[in-house]
Amino acid sequence: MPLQFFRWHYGDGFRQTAILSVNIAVGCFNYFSVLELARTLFLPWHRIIEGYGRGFDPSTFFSTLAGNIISRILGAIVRLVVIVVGLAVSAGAAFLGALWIALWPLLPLVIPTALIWGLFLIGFNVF
Amino acid sequence: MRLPAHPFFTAAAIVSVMPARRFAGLRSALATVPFLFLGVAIATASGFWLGLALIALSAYLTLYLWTSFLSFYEDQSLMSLPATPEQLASPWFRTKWPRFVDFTTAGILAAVPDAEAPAAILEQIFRSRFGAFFFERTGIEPESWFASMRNTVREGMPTLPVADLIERAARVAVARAHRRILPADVLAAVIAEDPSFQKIILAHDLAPLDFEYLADWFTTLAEHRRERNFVDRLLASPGIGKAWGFGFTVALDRASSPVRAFREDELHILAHAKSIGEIEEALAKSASANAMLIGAPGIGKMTVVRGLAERIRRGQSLPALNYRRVVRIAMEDIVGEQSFGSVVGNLERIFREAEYAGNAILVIEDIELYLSPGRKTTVADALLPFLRSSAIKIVGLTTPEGFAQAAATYPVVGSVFHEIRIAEPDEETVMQILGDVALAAETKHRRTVQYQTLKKVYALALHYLAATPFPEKAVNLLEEVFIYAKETGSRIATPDMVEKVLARKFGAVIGRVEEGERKILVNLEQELQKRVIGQTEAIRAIADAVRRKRSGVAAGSKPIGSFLFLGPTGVGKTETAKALAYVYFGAEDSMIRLDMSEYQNPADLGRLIGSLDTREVGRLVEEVRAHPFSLLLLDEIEKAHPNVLNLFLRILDEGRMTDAFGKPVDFTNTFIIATSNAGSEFIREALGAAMPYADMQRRLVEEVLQKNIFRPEFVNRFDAVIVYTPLSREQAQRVARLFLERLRRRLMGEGYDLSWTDAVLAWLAEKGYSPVFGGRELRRLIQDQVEANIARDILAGKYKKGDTIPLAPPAETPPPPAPASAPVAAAPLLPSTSAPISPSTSVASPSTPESGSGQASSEQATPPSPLDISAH
Repeated sequence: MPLQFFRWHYGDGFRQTAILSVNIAVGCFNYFSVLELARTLFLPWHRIIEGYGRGFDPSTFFSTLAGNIISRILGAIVRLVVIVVGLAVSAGAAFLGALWIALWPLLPLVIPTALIWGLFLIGFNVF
Repeated sequence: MRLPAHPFFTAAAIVSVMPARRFAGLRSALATVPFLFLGVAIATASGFWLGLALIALSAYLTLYLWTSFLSFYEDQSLMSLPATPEQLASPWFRTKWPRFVDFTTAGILAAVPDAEAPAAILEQIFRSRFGAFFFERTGIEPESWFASMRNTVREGMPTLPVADLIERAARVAVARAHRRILPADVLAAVIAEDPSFQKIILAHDLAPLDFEYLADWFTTLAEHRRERNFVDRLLASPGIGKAWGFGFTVALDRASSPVRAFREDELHILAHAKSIGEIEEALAKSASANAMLIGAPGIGKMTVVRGLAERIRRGQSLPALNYRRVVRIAMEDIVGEQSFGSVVGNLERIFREAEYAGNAILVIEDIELYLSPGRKTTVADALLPFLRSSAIKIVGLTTPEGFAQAAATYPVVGSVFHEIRIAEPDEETVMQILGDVALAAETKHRRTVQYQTLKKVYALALHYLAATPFPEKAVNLLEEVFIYAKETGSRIATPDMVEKVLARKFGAVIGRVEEGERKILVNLEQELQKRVIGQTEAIRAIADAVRRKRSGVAAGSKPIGSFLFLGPTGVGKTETAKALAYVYFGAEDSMIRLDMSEYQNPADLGRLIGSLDTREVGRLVEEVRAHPFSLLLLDEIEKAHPNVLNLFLRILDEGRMTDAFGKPVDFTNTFIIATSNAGSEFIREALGAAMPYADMQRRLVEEVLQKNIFRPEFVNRFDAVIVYTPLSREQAQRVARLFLERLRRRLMGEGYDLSWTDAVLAWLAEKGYSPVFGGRELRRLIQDQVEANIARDILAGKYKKGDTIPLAPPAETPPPPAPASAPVAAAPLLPSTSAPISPSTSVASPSTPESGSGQASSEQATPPSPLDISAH
């Protein structure tokens, strides 16, 4: 049985852990819609935009243009904030995932070591 | 059993004795402990707490690894089964079979000591988690089950190499479209192999297919119990910011609600995967991307939409649709606005907004109501321009007839909508859905449900609720059963409750023959003959048909019985029908009577089955749907138009028909009796020639066919053609007694009694006997000469409540009432000139011996009442 456990641990178990870690990082990236927001970075906020109307009236044109630019800038600011947060969270998730992947093969060693060290710290003379 | 060395089989063997789920709670509880201790260690700078944190961490990680290992292969196999059964016959499969068994089956096989004994594998299956589920859900006692199995083994169960057994199980699994071999597949293989085991399951009121449904239910239950972890939820979440590039929709938000799917919808959605795929493809197009879901009410159109919405919300649909908003527009609220102008204005504003927003998928239920001619035409005109827009996607829900009507009115509907027709799910899918719904209902009603209940719900919904499609009718019926269980205080929703719910609904006996009903059925002839004089052959044929149906011998897809009654008027044809309705359905008014002389033209068919043109619902359809447990009496059938008779060909043959709107109507719980006077003359002649009944029956059928009164295919559809013979004088006397007994019952309801002598009966038979009009003449005589006079005397105050009204023939004019008797009202004697019998003076109190029974004879001690011979 221990042999089969180790076979799983370094085979299917390790593969699953790697997939899970990648999925978490991708999930965070997707949750914050980083790609969509980057693609639509300068689109008006919720399509709030005014039409320029018929004919050309400089004051109307420029006030409309200003309103539309503000809508786009506001949209870009909000999106940029979310993109930055999303990237940070995704990077954090990716780092922790990588750490977990790296730690996984060592777990059969880490567990007894932690136990022995813990027992030693609480006063058991294990050696 | 020795299985290959692989973590899969090791984990399976451990889980079969020690389920991983047992450790789940402990693992969750331990998850935070190391961090708590670590926090304390940091706060106190204590090595002791750090040590505890490390010990807790090692304990948690051990548990984490252990449970991950045990649960890793759950619901898996090492390889998927090949798609075709041919590949299973290869030698390769015989060596590699363990790779195709699922985790539970692997655990079962690992625990079996003898690889050659299917009995041991069977026993292990029933001792596994699946077995526990099986006993819990079927209510079968495990001990009695295992005892039956041990007896079977003692009788000699065949041995079979496990590779052969698994190969057979694999064939079953491939046939059932399973990707791996489940315990139910192994069971099915054993059942097919071993007739003695078949006997065990039949003895427990189960069928081989039940194991498949139970296995499906078991899987559903496991799926419901499975906790969605953080990663699942994260990946299924739409996240934030996906809608920021699309417009706000203030008016649309006010007039709509988002479409969402819930966990209990999952299986319903799976059942409609094909339709969901079709709708996705239709909506992902660039232009005229609208879909029309067409299906009968209750078939699951909204479920398809919910499934679509969920896939879109999770980003699992096509890229062109992912993360769009699916909203249901409350058209009924918009159209219900008082001002018609505001209706159109609102609609245009909502659609324009949705178009501008760019990410809305609008769902309109009953869309045919807004695309039909009539007062809402302007609504259609407001709606149609948006159907061509590429920026808006509309999903319409309608019925087949609604779509036909809308397409006829607005041909453009056919081109702007992609038609998706929703089919009724098959039995397996309905059973899966019921299993799914049952689990949610159990939580809601705090009752448990047995597997047999689900099976009964399906069977009875199929049989008795023909007008509604699956799965709705089964789901609704199951809900009613849970409510019934709640009302009766039962903890378990049992199969008999399904019958009781339907019996309450239809007012008829459903299900197995109960003891009381058994007695009625055995003595049905006598019961009917209490009301119908003579006609022994007819009554016997009817009684036989009823017994066949109720004992389950008769084919289920036909009416309970169908008879063509031929005979002269007034011989008891209608009376037989009434008696049957009374005996079988418990009430005379459980009869739908149609005078077929009213359906002499082809156009009259619409009045029977409905008409699309006039939107009229047919009388036959309406009545049978409302009262499926009825007797349908078709009077004077020979007068109906041949097209009308053609309609009955299918009804008599299949027990069902489709109305003008395409909805089925079920006749399998009705008696159909058609009456006709055709051949009356022949019957009289045949009786005159002393022809035997069987010959007369045969010759009469030939006669009506020869004269083209009926077509052979019509006559052949009936269970029997019953010939009614004219009444004899002796029978007329019995009929007279029957009529008087009924009159007496009516009078007793008013507080009076009635008595008569045999002489009265003889007199009535003498005067009322008519070979031509049969019992009708007699009834007329009693109405005219008895009832009329009684009514007159009662109104004149001759009788008081509690008095007995005596009848006597003209020759037996009784003496005036005795003064010592109970208070009576003296009635004057009328001259005995013309007409016969009428009541006269009341003489007896209700307790006098001759009062009432109808058995009173002229020999009885109490003197008969004076006879009132009235001239009318």
